[in-house]
Amino acid sequence: MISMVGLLAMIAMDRRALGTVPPPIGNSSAPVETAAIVQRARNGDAVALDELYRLHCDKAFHLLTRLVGAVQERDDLLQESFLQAFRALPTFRGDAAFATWLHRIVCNVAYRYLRKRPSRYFEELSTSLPSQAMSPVELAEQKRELQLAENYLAALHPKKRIAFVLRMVEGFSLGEIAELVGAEAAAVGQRVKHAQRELEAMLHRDAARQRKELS
Amino acid sequence: VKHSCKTPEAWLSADPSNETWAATTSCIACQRVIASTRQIVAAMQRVDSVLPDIRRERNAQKMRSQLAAIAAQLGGRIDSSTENAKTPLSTWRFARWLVPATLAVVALIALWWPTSTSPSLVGLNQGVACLTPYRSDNANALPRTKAYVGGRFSRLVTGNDDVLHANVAGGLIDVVLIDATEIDVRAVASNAIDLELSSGFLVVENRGSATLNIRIGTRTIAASLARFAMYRSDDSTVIAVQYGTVSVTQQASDPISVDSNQQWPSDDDAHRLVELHGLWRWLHALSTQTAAVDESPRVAPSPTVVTVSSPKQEQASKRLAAEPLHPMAAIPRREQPPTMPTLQTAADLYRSAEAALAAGDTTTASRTWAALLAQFPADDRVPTALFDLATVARGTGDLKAAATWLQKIPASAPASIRSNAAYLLCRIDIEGNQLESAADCLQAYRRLFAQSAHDQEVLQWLVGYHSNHSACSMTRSLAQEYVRRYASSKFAEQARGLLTCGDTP
Repeated sequence: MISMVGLLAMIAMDRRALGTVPPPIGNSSAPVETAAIVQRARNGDAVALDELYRLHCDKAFHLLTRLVGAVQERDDLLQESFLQAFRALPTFRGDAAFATWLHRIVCNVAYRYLRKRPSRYFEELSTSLPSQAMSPVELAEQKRELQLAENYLAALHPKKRIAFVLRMVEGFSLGEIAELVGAEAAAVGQRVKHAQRELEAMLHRDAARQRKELS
Repeated sequence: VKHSCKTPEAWLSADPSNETWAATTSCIACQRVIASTRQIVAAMQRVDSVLPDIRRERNAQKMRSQLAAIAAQLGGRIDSSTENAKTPLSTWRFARWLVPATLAVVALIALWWPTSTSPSLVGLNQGVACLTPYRSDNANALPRTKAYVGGRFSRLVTGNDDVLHANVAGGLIDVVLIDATEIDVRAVASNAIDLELSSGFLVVENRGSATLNIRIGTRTIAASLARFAMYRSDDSTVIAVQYGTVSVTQQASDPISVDSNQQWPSDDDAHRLVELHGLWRWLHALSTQTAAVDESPRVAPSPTVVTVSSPKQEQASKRLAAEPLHPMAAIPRREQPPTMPTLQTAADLYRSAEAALAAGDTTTASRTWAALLAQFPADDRVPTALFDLATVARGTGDLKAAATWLQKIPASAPASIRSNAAYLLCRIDIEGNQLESAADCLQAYRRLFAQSAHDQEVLQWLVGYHSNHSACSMTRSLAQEYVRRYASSKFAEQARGLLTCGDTP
């Protein structure tokens, strides 16, 4: 029997194959242009720093959104990530792709944010237009579902949440996640497993409570 | 139809098209719609994670001011370091100890410093006394630092040349130092600033309700929602109020209030150490000099506008009784239109507005953006300010005002702003339930901005709208376009189903 974790991982992998998920961020075949821009930035070229921001901000924003949810502070966190990365550029050796290195910083920024933020869950709802092709009921369900999902994730420890989201939502391998969060792959696997268990426990508890209320 | 949350079956079986949005949403809210972690994952995957153009540009603009400093640092210390930039989470564990230790050392230095030097003038750096004294005639000592204290962006104090801005809980405070002015920042709290003027000219504007105290010897000048200029020499102090009320308190005496364009009657000898004049012209002269500070060498203020009063009460009393208080006192008031002199640049205003917005003060932010529009109508930041005003208005539910601001965005604005403004206008129609108008708006939007990042969702919305309104030919055409352009999207399947709209089965 395929475990729930395995099933979800397969779903995530399918999504990546379909192109709905961005490609792995640890892509070693980074464009030569990026390397040249990084080199210019390391030499103190402000224009190159700006170019780096423009090249990588979309993916960094996507990752931040997945990690912390659609909160209003995303722009601040994005800015903070880039500034940290730029200040640390002299220590960037270039073994890994710049994007991987940047996303590691994004993960750290997200982690610190999740640790500090109070228990408020969802501040900024999706900016997408409400689709006319969906009924109000469907739309409201989606909206509510998103809010509840965020509530459940917010109850997890930030490390577990990050591991869970990167694995299940983004479909990264344990090795990729390990590189991003600076931990062993086995430890990341444990975090995902524990997150999964905790979420299932919360879901069972809520289901029982609701059954009781309805009866 | 009003549904009870206790009977969800009632609304589930009802016709959704008859439902009001609020009723549906409130009923849905009573239902637990997540039953598995798979749903959590699916929901998170639906979160919109696209960075809109306008926000990308704004972030870039925000960062640009800091990039120059970072670039300068990088240019100076690039070496052949082979250490890769590992920033594991364990680094932050170390930082947890490092930061309190550093703060403790700084606090010890701050406690020790005032007793070691006298006088101890400090810059606008949160009372940390270990920095160079701030003197406006010493360019190397200008406090250019930004300090975030007491929480994220809650209090921002910046120093930029001779203009110091403080964004405290009650609003924004600007302090302009003219020529060789010396100030001492005694305290900066969450909603109050305490300064001491040692000598020279200050032009101060407190645009909020925060407490601003300026000490001059034994006197304390307090003002909120006021703009005034003050001058201190060895034995006299002159204050001119442009608007608002300034109160002057001396030890063991009641405060005196001086309103805009009013002259203190000076009938109490105890207060004659301070002469107060509501002479906007004098202030205007000062502000003109201030505005020219950056471009031209500093010019000492004209001695004719400075009144020297005696430090002794009796002498002052006699002199005031014998002759006019001040040469400028003879000038009739309100001769010229009461326009506020321009003290700030458009960039300053925009920064102030953004700081206010970051602090959650949307009222001040809107007012500052409006001031930017009034004072610098041709500035490059005007389109962005208009867009920001619209966003704030929309956030407060004032859709009409939001639409008005958006419609003012000039055609010469950058394409990214025009595109986002046009998109937001259409969304405002949707939010105002003007669906027919929204459909026209979105169709026009697609014609104007065919390559927009919002095109997919706009097209999807239009397909759904026309499908719901049984406009089959339009639905088919739009659905066809959708399938052609976004074949792999989730909605494409549904769109394919609509290609046969109107055909007889």
